[in-house]
Amino acid sequence: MIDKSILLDNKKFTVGIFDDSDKLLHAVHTLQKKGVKIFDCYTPFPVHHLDKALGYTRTNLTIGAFLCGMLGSLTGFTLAYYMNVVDWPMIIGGKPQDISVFTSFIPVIFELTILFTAFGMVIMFFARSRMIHGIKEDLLSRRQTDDHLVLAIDNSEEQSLSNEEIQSLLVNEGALEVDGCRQAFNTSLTGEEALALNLSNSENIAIETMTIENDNSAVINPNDETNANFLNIIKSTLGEFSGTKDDLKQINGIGPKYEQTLNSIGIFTFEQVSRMTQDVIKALEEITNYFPGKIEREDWISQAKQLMTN
Amino acid sequence: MYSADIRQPLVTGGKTYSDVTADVCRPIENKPTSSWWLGFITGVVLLMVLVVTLAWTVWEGIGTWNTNKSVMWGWDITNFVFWVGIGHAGTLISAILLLFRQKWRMSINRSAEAMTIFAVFCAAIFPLFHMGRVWLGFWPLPLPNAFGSLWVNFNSPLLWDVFAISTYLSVSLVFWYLGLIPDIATVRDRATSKARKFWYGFFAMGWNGSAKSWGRYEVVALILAGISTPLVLSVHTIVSMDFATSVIPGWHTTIFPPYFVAGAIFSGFGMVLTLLLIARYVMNYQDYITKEHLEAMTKVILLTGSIVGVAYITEFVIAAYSGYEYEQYAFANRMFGPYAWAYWTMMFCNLLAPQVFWSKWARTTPWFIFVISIVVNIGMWFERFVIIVTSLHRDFLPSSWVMYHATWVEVGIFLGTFGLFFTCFFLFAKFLPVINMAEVKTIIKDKE
Repeated sequence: MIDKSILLDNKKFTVGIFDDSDKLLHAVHTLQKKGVKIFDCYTPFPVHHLDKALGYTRTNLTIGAFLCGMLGSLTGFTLAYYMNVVDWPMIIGGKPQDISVFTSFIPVIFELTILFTAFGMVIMFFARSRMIHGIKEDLLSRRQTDDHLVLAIDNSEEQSLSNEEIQSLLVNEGALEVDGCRQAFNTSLTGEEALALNLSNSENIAIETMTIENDNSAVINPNDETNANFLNIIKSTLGEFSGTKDDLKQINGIGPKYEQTLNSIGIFTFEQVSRMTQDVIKALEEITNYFPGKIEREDWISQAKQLMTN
Repeated sequence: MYSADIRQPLVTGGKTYSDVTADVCRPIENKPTSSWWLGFITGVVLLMVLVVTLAWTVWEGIGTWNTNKSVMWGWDITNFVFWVGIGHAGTLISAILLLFRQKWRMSINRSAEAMTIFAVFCAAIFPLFHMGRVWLGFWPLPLPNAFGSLWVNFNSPLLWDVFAISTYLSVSLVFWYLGLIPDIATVRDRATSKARKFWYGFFAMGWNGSAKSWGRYEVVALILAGISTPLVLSVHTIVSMDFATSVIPGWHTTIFPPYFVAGAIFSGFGMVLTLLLIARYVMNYQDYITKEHLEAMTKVILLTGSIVGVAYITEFVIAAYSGYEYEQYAFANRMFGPYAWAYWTMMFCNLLAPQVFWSKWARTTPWFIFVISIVVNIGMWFERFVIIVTSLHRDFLPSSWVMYHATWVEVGIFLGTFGLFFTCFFLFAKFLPVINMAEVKTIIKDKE
């Protein structure tokens, strides 16, 4: 792996995370109307009109492709003409071997034109997008290649609105999650490292939920409205913790860091884990920004049931 | 987005973005199922047959095949044209249907492109080994010759074939890989094991789905589609010229290029349907490969099958009308000669059988489509067999008339290429996303 972060360097971003392309597009329009400069958007699929909305002009790769194609034609013609006319004419059936046989060079010229265009254009595309094998990816959300659409605003750029105003605007536009200061990370880190990084970046959800736990009151600021909802779902399904705390690390897939996170949310026992429903899992994944589907794949629920009987 | 009410949804089951990811990534992230193992092991066993028969061909010599005067091309070139033809559907679906804005292509293009690439691998084996000394297989390349400055002959359609097929293979590979990058990135970001994180990270090339990259990506995909479209048409045109530019009765006709291209699309869709119907059933992709998809593909089969049928009849009429008795004999011999059974098999499979797709029931009943798709595969193999063997086994000189039958080695190589094809396909189904997630996510709310 090339140990270099290529695209976003060490910039800090204000991000809004959406679950719908229409909402994202609307948010982009609204922010731009208010004069906010958007750095870029990150989506799991191409969103139509998004590039236009962000003011990107059409790429010039097509011109490059055309030049590559011309080079291919020239190569094909030179190859055939030099070999069969100049260097070693093959006289078959007394037929002339000069420029008049040009027509039988056409298939080769045609194929090489296409070959050069395709490869030239794709190589230019990789170079232009700074893509190369083994380079580390810069992600702002673990799920931006799955189902989350990320709107990123560069904090170092001067904006017409304050950071708080931008954040509340994003919330009003229907963002699932808003974060005033996030750095790019990559998934080549181990799961625990990435999680730790992610948590510290998103103003440490674990600590925030801790305060909710201690105050025993619902602290609602615009950023965690969704978090609070999710916490309610978890609380109402799993109930309050009572009795003795289990060592959740015994469940294959839970490490010390995630155990802490679970504890801060109010999950302490195998019994609670074994009662997790689809909604709870979804809520957990949302508030802790955890690997989507990992809980089901590693089947924590049956693991917890197994551990309870032991 | 505009959608007409008479259209059916392209993806059923009310899937969300994360459902699409989860469904497509399931085979990659879980242990392979028993049906996967069954298919994979069958493929590997057949692949072993390929290895043994090819080794025997190289060890003992090309005399292990029954290709001899005057049938110098037999099963080998039949199989070559058969596999190249199958390789046409993938790029047709992803390139031509992209230009025509047919959104139903999106959930099938990935597997069809994979099929194209594996089919071209299979095809390449035949001319390479037919040369006899396979270790000199680089001679058709335009390289300076060790025996003087003799170069390759640019007037020869066989050389055009070398350029056409190698270009087709490499451009299809690039197109396929480009389409895979965003999906590989998705698998990378869900990966829980170190190995998966490394390898998918390696091939994802740092993709993070930025709007800038998507903008360029879509332009590149469009241009690639634009240049792949004439490429698809050129490849089988050039393959047909291997025959059409020679002066053999039954081959020397100008109808060959369009007729071969239609035949290639016909056989390619036949194979796509065979594979997709299996994949749809084994991997539970009924929500992604819906009956609408099957119906659209059967319509293409019906159209191209009819074009091929018209070409057969035209060829016959032109031969009768030409007043050229060798040509007339070649066609009479096809219909009533010793290989008449092959001719009538071809006519039944390609001309008559696909006509059942005029009925809506036939177009939407999976098991029935599966049967017809097999029939189409058989018919298209026989088409090439009929063209090659019946034209060659009756020479101008009646004393050279022979009958041609394949040896076990030739049959083994053909079966073996199915092994190679299915081994590659099952590995693909295990390690790469079979459905283009990024594209499908753009249409889950659409209707077609």
